[in-house]
Amino acid sequence: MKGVVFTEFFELIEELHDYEMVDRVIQESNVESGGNYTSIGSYDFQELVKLLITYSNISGNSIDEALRLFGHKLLKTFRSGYAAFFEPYDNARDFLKTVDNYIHVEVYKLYPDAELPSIRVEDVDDNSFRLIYSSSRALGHLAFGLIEATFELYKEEYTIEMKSTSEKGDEVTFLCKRI
Amino acid sequence: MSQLDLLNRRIEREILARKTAERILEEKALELHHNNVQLQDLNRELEEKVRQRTEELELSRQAYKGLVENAGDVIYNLDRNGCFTYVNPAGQKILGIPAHTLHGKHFSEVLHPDNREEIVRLHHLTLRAKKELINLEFPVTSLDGRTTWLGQKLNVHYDEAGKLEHITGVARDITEIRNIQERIRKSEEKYRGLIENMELGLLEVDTNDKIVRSYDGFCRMMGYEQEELIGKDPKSLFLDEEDISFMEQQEADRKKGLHNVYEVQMKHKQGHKVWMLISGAPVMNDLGVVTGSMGIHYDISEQKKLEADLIRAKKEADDARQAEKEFLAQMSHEIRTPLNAVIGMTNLLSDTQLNPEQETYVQDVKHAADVLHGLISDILDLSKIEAGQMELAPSLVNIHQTVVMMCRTMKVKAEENSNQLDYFIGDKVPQLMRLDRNILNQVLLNLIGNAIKFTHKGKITLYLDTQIKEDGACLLQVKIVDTGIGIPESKLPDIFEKFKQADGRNTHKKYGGTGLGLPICKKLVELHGGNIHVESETEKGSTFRFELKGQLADRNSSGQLSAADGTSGASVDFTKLKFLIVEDTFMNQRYIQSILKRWSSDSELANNGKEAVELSENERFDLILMDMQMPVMDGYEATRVIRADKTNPNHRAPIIALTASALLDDRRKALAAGMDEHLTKPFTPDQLKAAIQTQLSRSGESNPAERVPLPLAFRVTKVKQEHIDMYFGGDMDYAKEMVLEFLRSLPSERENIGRLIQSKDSTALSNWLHSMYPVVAMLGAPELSKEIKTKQLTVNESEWTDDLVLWSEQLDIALSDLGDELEKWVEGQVA
Ligand code: HEM
Repeated sequence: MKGVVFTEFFELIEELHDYEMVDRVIQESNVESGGNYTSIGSYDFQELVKLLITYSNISGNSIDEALRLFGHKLLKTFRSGYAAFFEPYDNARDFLKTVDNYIHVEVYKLYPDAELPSIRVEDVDDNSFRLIYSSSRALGHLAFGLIEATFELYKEEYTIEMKSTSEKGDEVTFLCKRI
Repeated sequence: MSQLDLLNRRIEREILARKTAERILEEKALELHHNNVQLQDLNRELEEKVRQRTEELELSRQAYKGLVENAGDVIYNLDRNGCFTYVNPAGQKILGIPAHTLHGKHFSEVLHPDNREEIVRLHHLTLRAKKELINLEFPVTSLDGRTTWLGQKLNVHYDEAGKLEHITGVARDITEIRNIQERIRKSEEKYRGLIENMELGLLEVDTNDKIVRSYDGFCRMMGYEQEELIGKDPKSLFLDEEDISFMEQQEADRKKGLHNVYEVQMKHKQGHKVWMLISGAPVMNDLGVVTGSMGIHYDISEQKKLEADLIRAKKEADDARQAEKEFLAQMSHEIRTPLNAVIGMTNLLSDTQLNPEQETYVQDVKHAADVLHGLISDILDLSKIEAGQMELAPSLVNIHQTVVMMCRTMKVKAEENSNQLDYFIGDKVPQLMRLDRNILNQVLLNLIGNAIKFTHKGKITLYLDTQIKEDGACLLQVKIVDTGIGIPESKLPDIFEKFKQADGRNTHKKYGGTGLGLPICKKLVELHGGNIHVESETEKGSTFRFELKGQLADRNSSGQLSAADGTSGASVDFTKLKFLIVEDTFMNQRYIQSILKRWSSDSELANNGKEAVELSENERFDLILMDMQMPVMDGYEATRVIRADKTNPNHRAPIIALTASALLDDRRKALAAGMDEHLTKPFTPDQLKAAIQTQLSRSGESNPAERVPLPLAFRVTKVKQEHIDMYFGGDMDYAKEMVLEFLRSLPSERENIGRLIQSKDSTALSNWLHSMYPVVAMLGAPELSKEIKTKQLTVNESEWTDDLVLWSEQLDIALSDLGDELEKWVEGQVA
């Protein structure tokens, strides 16, 4: 997992709480790397899992909720860092369609060790579409947060119906309907 | 304090993260540097390769340029408008135009004016069809007016849109080749013209059997105009259904490249048929590919007609020859029959009391009849020899005796002409030789007779000598020298020719004879593997030489001969004999009857074979005289019937065949039928007497009717007691029992033989013989047993042959004789 995910995650905790919380999560998680992440490094995905569990225990927030908020946080970061990906489109659906076959492809070119999901968008009708997430890391709620944030960004109102299509949660379908 | 710790930890984490980041960046930078270095290397390598390729290209460009510049072939480039952009020096030379003037010129400007329009048209057609490769031949004209034929190969290059870019051309000067081709074409034309003048018709067809060219000669032969034939199928036009398949076979052969000649009938335009001799050969183009075939036709209708005429003529001639042969055969019978009677009657007449005048008349009649008889015999002999019906019949001949006898006989005649006849026999000449007795006699008789005839108050001398050849053959060399009138030189070559006597009519008138004697001699001598020659001088005399190819006699056979020769002399009492005469011609009947009457013999007459069989069943005759050619039943058949019927009292009686011809074949047939002797008509009373005496005195028995001549082995005279003793160990009772048993079974055994002969079953005969010979040996007839055993072995291997009939019949007689002897033996035992 890229270091940026870790640094962003710590930033989110600091925003929601304070650095003391960040410090506690690091110390209590007892991660191998020692918690001093740099955004350009790469770290074991299991460290993120440990950190999430520790945070959930201390704060009382569910992991799912934390991931959803993290999605909002990440999209904001992406929006300010990679505005060029967003600008060509005026609606969420068109933008989302580009994640899998353009944005993540570019990410992969830059970081050959990146671990990326598959994001498939299927049109249902003019007002609704289906987004199918699949990844061995089962971060469906992170995706949920990212999608919510995307709609907010394009100022569109959609209901999102999330449904796991596999037990392990490595495949999740989001049915998005315009309100 | 804890806030401070927290801060410290945070700073520490930030520092560690930064250091990690710096280290990562450092590594990335290093990696980048390496990549950059590699990139630079790659770049350098690529630059080097490009430089090398450029150099190589330049070199090969130079090389190609050199090739193009120095090429003997013309090489040029045309731009899309058809203007020269490049012409190599060879091209410049042929066109006589320097490169700078040529460049920019349109190609049509260098073309020969005669072909210009057509070539340009072709050029446009090619481009419109977007062809990429064109082969063309056309002439170009140089600035100074020389015309050069160029064989060209054009490569047309189009761009992606299919628009013409440029044309590269390679051309070769083919003027010389074209000239040669032209010369060949002209000489071919010349030869075809020649062939046409030779009354041969040429027709050329393509591979689809369509006429591409027909020459005048052919058109004339078939009555067509050239234009009518082009494109036609010659088979359906000229041939009948049945000839087409024949022709197709010929064509198949021709396609394989075979030349062939055949004859076929072709339909003329007017409808009649023309017989053609056709020689076909494949026509090939310059590349050796068969493009069709050329037929050379020769009208052989005339020859065909001639051929047919010849065949008809030959058939007519053959028919005529056949008719002549039949005529001769017929004549033989028709003339001989009355003639025999005339001669016979004359013989009888001369034995009666005649006054001198009558005596002369009788002598004249006799002479005339003899001449006529000689003529007919000669003609028949000659025609038989010519028809290949005469065969050699070699036997052992006592040469000395023959010559002595011959000279003794001829002496009388010689003295009539006041001639002296002598003979000389060479020291080396053997007593006995194997050759054809009749041929020797006939040739000698003829030549000596001639010599006597043409010599007056002179000498005739006979010389004999022999010569042994390498192959063991013995040549008998005979020379007859006379001191007579001789033969004119001009006639000598014809002397052995048919119907050509020394001087035609005159000789015939004066000396008589048929003129066939010498031709017959020549044929006979040649048949005997020898030759005959004559030397002569008029008024001085003639010398005839001839040779016969025979064999020396071996010792064994000489003994046999003397035994055979020693049979004559025994006298037969004719007054006690009764003959059966079988003869259909009245005059012959009278002749024979009267001869027999003169000898005081009794005779009975049968008019044909059937009557003879009937008479022979009722009465025993001492001898039967049997004519061969008779109506109802001929002599052969009658003889077979009499011989086969064991109840017939005459089944063992001697039978003398009376035939009209002296041919071997007739003699053989007569003997095969079971006859004992053969007498040729006409015969003198003496000849008949001799034949009868031979037959009846052979056995030496007083009762000749029961005796027929048998080969030695078959002559059972007395039972050999020693043999019976040997086999039965002196037990005479047992022996008698066996003999009686044999005698009881004898009639049925003899019936068996008759049946076996009739069925002609050689295997059955062999089996029967096998069971027979041990019994015969035990019963005291060892010779007969041995004969049966020997025969049994050969019968086993061979098919049925007719001499088995004769043999079996003789065996039957021998067995019957054995029976008689055994009966005597039994009587002796009782006593
Ligand atoms: C400009 C836009 C985006 C950028 C630059 C971006 C880039 C990235 C990067 C760098 C990672 C981490 C990979 C790693 O650590 O190995 C990531 C993971 C992820 N991205 Fe994006 N992303 C973008 C938009 C989105 C959006 C719109 C979605 C919405 C569904 C999304 C879904 C995810 C998820 C779910 C993961 C987590 C990895 C996983 O589940 O396997 N991303 N992305």
